[in-house]
Amino acid sequence: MGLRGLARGRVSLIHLPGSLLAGVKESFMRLVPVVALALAASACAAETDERPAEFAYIVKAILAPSCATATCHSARTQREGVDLSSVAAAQDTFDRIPLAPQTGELRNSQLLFVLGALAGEDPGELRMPVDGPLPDADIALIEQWIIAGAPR
Amino acid sequence: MKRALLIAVALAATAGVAHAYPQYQLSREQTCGACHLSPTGGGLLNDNGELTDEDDAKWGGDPTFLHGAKELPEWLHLGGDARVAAGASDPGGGWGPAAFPMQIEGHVQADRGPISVVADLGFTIPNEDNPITLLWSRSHYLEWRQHDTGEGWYARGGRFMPTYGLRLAEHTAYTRRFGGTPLFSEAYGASVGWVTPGAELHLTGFVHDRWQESIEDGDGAAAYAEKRFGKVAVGVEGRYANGAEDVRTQGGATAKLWLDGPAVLLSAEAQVVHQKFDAGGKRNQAVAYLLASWFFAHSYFLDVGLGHYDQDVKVPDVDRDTVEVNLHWFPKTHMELVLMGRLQMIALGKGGDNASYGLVQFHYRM
Repeated sequence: MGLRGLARGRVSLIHLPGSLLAGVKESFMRLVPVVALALAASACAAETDERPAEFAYIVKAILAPSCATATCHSARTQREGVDLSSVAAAQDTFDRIPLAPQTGELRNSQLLFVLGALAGEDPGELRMPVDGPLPDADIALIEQWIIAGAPR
Repeated sequence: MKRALLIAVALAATAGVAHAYPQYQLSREQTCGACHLSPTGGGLLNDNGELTDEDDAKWGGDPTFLHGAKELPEWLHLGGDARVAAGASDPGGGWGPAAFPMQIEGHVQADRGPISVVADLGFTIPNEDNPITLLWSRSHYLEWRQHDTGEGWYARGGRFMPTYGLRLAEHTAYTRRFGGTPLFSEAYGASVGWVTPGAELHLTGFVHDRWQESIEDGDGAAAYAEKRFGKVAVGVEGRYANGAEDVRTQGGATAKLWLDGPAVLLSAEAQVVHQKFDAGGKRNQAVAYLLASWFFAHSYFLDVGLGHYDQDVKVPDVDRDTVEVNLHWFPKTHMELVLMGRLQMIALGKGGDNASYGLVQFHYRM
């Protein structure tokens, strides 16, 4: 049976709100254990950020998943010559482009600029990632690495 | 204008290929292969899939290849998909226009008895220094099927997406993007599976693509099994990928429930992804998605999805949540319009800027 059959044969818009709510409630209760698997893991979060402020970790854990998407800064597309798909590729990219100069100064970082993380500077149309910003905690980790001289 | 172009290019990475609607499962058919030539779903439609397209269309039409203008021999199947979307997006710093191509891709399947050659060829945003990357074949493989219906055993070898999870069309869903099947993460591999209306099992071994630079950079295996009990289905999944710089081991579960009365399908997926970095360090990620699909009227359905992604369960305020609302409308055969809205929050608004989009997507199936 197709949608037409569903709509004409079994779906009654008149009775829908009540049955929908009841059905959703019942189903939700059945599905809760499944979703809870992941949510429970999240609930165990610690209160401190003990992640290493190191280049390799930042690339693999933060930049690659958020920036090296299919047609952006992936190994294949390398928009604007930026490849963040791997530590090795990012090493080459950071060597060629002043994303994070090794001066220890935040204000000279193009990376922080496009992330919208430079105080008083609005990247406007250059804001990245375009599908949603990085968490503040990730940006803080990147800042910590840059202040340390952005060692690679 | 520059902003629109930038967003267009960049959003293409987060939009893109969508083929199947797992939302249809359980409501009418039990398996993906009931509507698709592939026993794992996606890609070209079979006769029943085309009839479903005709049945769904508000104003009907011929659902066959090129609207029936060209009849193909029985052994040959051709098709294609084109998707574009436009609207507005807020990546965290304010709203701006967004317009982008999502997919331009052709599909072919040639059958000889139980053996098929399957391939697609499409366009993508190229590497500026390597224009040939404009062309792109995500899938090309050889497949054997025990039965024409797609039920029973199958085996395939070549380049394809290892079967895993809910197989949602919307790849922005966290369980796809961060859960092992992000856009363009097809790999070379060999797969064997067993599909019946009551249960299915898919096992895949894969190696990453050395030539086309896939998003998947690891070698490993994926397994997915699903058991159906009438209008309820439960599944388990596991995946392992050993990359050049990390190792990812993940597992989870899926569940689906079809409600006849309100014509709603509830789908859920939850995973834990353990990632160990060669350079040191490790983390556990949690990914979950809950989707309600409401078939409220002929030629329409509405998706409301809730997503949760915690990139490191030991680190505070790096979790993200989304609310996604997609309204699908099928005006004529081969055509689909989708109104898409999405809101993403970090740590429920206390861990960073929110992001949103509102888009209209047009999809044409050749």
